[in-house]
Amino acid sequence: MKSIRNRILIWVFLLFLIIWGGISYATYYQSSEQVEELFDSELAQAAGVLMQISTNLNITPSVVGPKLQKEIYGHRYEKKIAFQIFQDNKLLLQSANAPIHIMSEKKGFSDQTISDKLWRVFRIHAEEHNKVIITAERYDVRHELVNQITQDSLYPLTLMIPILLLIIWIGIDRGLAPIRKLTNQIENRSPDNLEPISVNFNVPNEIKPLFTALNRLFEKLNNAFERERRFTSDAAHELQTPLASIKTQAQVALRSHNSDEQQHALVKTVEGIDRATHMVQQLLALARLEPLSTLDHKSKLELYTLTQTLLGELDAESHRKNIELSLNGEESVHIEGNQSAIEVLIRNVLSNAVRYTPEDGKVSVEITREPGHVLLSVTDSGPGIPEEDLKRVFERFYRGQNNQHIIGSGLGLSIAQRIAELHDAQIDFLQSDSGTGLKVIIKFNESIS
Amino acid sequence: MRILLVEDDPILGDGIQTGLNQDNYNVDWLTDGGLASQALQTDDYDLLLLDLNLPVKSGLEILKEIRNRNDKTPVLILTARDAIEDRVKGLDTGADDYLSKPFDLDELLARVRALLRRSKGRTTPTLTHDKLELNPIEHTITLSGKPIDLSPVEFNLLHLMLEGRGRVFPRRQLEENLYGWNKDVDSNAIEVHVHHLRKKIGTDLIRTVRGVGYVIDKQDQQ
Repeated sequence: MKSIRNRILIWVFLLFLIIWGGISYATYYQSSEQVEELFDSELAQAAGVLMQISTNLNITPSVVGPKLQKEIYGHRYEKKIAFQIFQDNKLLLQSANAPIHIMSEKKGFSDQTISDKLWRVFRIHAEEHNKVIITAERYDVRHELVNQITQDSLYPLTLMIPILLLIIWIGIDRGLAPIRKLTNQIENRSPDNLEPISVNFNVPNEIKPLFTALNRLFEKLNNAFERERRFTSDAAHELQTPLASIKTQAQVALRSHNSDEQQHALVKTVEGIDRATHMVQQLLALARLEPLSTLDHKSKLELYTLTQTLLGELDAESHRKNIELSLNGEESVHIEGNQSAIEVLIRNVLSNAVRYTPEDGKVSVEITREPGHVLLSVTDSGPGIPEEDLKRVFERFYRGQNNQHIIGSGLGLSIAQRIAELHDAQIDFLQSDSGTGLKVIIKFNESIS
Repeated sequence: MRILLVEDDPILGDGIQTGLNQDNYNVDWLTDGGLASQALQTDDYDLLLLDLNLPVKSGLEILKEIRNRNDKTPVLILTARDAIEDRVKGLDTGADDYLSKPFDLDELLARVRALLRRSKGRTTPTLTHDKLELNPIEHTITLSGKPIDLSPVEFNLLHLMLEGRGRVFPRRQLEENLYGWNKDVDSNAIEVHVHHLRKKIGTDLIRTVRGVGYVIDKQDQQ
């Protein structure tokens, strides 16, 4: 059932039917009781009258009615009313529609079936004259009357049904008006309008939650769109500079007549292209991670071995800069995650540490445990990040000051942060304990075997 | 002509410096706003090429500083921010021109020439003095219509002094202008170049002011 209006109408209609049924039943029951009593008293009275008449008139036994005459009825119910008068067990007088045998042997009121019809029978016995009077009436009459009374009383009520349904229809229509207005508003807004809905009527309590939820959704969408827009614009801007550098170096090479200068410019051109490529790759990685709410293909990962392998990848660079790498801590702790994503996360943090640590420095990695959590801390002896910049590290394209000679996209930590979010992990940046350098702590949920 | 380039991107900065050097400009290149701000207080430049997004001190702050102390050095902003309001803000803060990245090197050089020309109060691209004509775009010099062959340093020296006719250039200033801080200069290098120039274009053009430096006198009709 898709329409609220139809649903309400059907329920109201059902309710109406029940009420209608109840009233019918009550009317029928009550009127039949009263009719019974009335008719019963009439039967008794008729029997009394007959008794009086038959006592005063000395009648020879005979049959009254159709047995002698044609059936002539004064009233349409009349043929359904019968009487018998017996004296000394002999039929003295009876109506034409009465059977020849005695209708009832029971004293007082009783129900008798006589030639397939149900009769209400009343019998009195006058001892002193040895006379029996029986009056009887077919039940049809009573039923017909009761039905008539019930019908008559239900008639106006039945007539009300369409009127009532119409009123309810209009009422529902009025009631649903705010929803319709809301729908119109939403339908008529342009696709890029994500402002909250504002209406010029009082929002009824019933649709207030819907209204609020919609506005909250709009707000979320708006924020998401705004973020996308800003991201695209940031990305485009950040690519301007690498592109400008490539173009400038290429033009320098074209203009140059000096082969050393040309060579230099071409090397720089290639370097610039590498940098732009790296940035585009990082942007793609981030764009792929961004819309996900969780990552598939999660498995149990042994953190120590994983970190060891990733540190191995950095061996060449750290050797060249004579940086001492170390790994300590728990050797058999497990986390749950998507292996390639977790690798990107840890690789980004480790390679940042190595990249920003000057020659002859130190990068130490430690794996520790807290109840329910596994902590991977990476401490370097680099320049660190000033306190006021610590909260900006996850901003896209943020790159530390005085680090401009280090080639990077400024996206690595945004990616790391996004992966951490997808794993319910947390990344914290602190000043290292020794005062200089940076300490990065990644807090994973421990996977318990 | 001495130009200060402030650009934090290593590859782009290198490219612009080399490109300007190819046209015989003497370029000092700095990568952070703080250092640039100091350099502008101690040294004279004919032009400032300024990126906006700089570490330590932003390009706009530097621009405000120099305009606040009434420094009229022409400023060309180079930036990746290309929205209209960014341009307007840059120009209103005191920039003379605005070029958004990525740009064409030839366009950058043309704008540099135009800014230098305007800052010296000229509207025509060539400089003439008596029978001497200097074309800064083509780097050519003619004397009575005949081309004269000059080394880049000699050309720059003559260009600088023609632009500042009537002004006495101390030797130290000429050295800074021609070589910047980066190169070792012989103490008598300027004298040698002036000597060569006098041989090529005549002895009476450049006058020695004893104990101070050199000057090219203004022509009477100017």
